[in-house]
Parts: sequence; C-alpha cells; structure tokens
Amino acid sequence: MSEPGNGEQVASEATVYEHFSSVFYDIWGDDPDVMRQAQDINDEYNRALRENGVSSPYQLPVAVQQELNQRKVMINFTED
Amino acid sequence: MTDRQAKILQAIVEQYAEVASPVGSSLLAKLFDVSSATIRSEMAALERAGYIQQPHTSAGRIPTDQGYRFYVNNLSQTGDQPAEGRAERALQARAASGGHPERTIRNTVDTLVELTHNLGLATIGPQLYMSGLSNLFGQPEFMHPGQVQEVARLLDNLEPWLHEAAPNEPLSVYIGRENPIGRSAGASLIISRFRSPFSDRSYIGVLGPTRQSYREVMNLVGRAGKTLEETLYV
Repeated sequence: MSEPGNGEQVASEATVYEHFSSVFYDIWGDDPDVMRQAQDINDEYNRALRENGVSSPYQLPVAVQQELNQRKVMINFTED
Repeated sequence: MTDRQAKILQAIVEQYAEVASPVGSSLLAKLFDVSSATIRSEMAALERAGYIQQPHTSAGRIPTDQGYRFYVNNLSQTGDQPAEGRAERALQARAASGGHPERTIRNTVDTLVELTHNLGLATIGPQLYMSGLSNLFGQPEFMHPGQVQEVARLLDNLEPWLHEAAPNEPLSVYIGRENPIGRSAGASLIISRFRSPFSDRSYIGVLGPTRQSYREVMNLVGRAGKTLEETLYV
C-alpha cells in the first residue's frame, strides 16, 4: 500500500464515491440486476481507493483500474 | 491461416478485450483443450505472420492492428452478430424516444459512451458533438503524453476529415494505423452513416483504444445509426 502524497485526499470509510454516471442510472435505473452489479463494483472501487490510500480512481494501480473499468463495461453486455 | 489459428486469434482478441491483459498459452490451452506446447507453436506462427505480438512487460500476447483487422473482417464476412441483448434494447429505446433531433442525437451519443466506455461522437450539421473524453483518456493505452497528443490531433481533425472523406459504408471501422489522421494514436474509430434532417451523410460512432469488444461495439454503433435514421429521417 502506498502512502498518499502531499495534498492528496485519502478515501475514508465515511467518504462515499459514486463511480457511475447519471446517464448510467437513466439507462439502467429500473433494472434491479444491473443495479445490484453496479453496487458491487461501486463498493469494490471504494475499497480499492481505501486500500491504496488514494482519492481518485485514476490514482489506482493500472491493473486495478483496468479490471474495474472492464467490469463496468461488461455489465452492459451481460444478459440476466 | 489455418482454421485453428483463426480460432486462437479470435480467442486472443476477445480475451484481451475482456481482461485487458496479455493472453498466455496456458489459458488458451484450457480453452481449446490441447497442450500448451501446441498453443505456443500456433502462437509463434501467428506472431511470425504479424497477427499478434508480445509486449515487453509480459509473457502473454496481444493482437496487432493486422490481427484486429483479420478478426473484424471475419465478423463482417460471416455476418456473425450477437443476439439482441439488453444493451441494444436500451440503446434503441433511448434513440427512439423522440424529442428535438439534436437532443435525440446527443442522447444517443451519451448512451453509446455509457455502454461502450469510449469517446462518443456524432455530426449535427456542420458541428461535431463529442462526449466521454474522460473515458478515452482514462484508458491505460493513452497514459503516455505522446499518445495523448496523437489522439488530440486525431480529434482536432476528425470533423473536417469526416466532411471531406464522407465514408459511404453503413458502418466503417478504422483500426490503429488505418486511421487517416492520428495514425500513431493506437485508436480505433467505429462510425455509422445515417440520414438525418441535418444531412444525408450524418455520422455517429465511438473512438477508443484498439482493444475493443468489436463484435458488441460495432453492433451497437450500427444499431445507433439505423435507429436514428428510422426515428429522425421521414
């Protein structure tokens, strides 16, 4: 786990980050299956931020960004 | 290329799009139920022919532009399209939801951005509407300053190029170095031509890294153009 640099915010338990756009909720808001998957990914993003001591998804290790981004994409292409 | 090599290349393209990390022989050996040695020999042949390459940082392989082109041509030739899934249904519903034509086009672009996590774009008359820049520059492929500059150059020249070249195919795919501008950007441009009240040659599409789920993204972009034309062009 890396230490945060000067001026960097650290995601804490109390901080709630939203990793999906308003368009995403416009598209899928009434689909409980998609919403459940989105909640899982949202939670994983926030856990990764805390564990890596950073405040933005772009500061996460590249492999973690890739994996979580790809899961966001695959939500759209996976059927129930 | 043998049938087995084509299937291995297809698996490398699709696995790489899904997991975003180079694909190794052990995974492919499991997928094809053959030995790793067999897969390594087939991968060596694909690499010699220029369809895949080995990044410096990994033992696995990733597709080259030529490999992606083979894959995309194969998709087009076989007409192999995914069954209509929820992404297509959502896109069609939003593209057909009515309202002012400009609003409808923007809404459809925003939906493509959300569904594909690429940059989305559409021509609205002489203007080019773009959305999702953070998706594009958030991709690990575009983290090097040189590549950011190349992508920016491509974006700067996209609107004049679209008007000048006016691609005539219903769906056009430009992979990596095939892009007439920003050839070194490592980007793929997928655009659909449609008729709108603004122009008979209107375009909607996405721009992202060459690492794409081509089958799904090409299908969505094609559907977007078709639905917009049905909705807007009377």
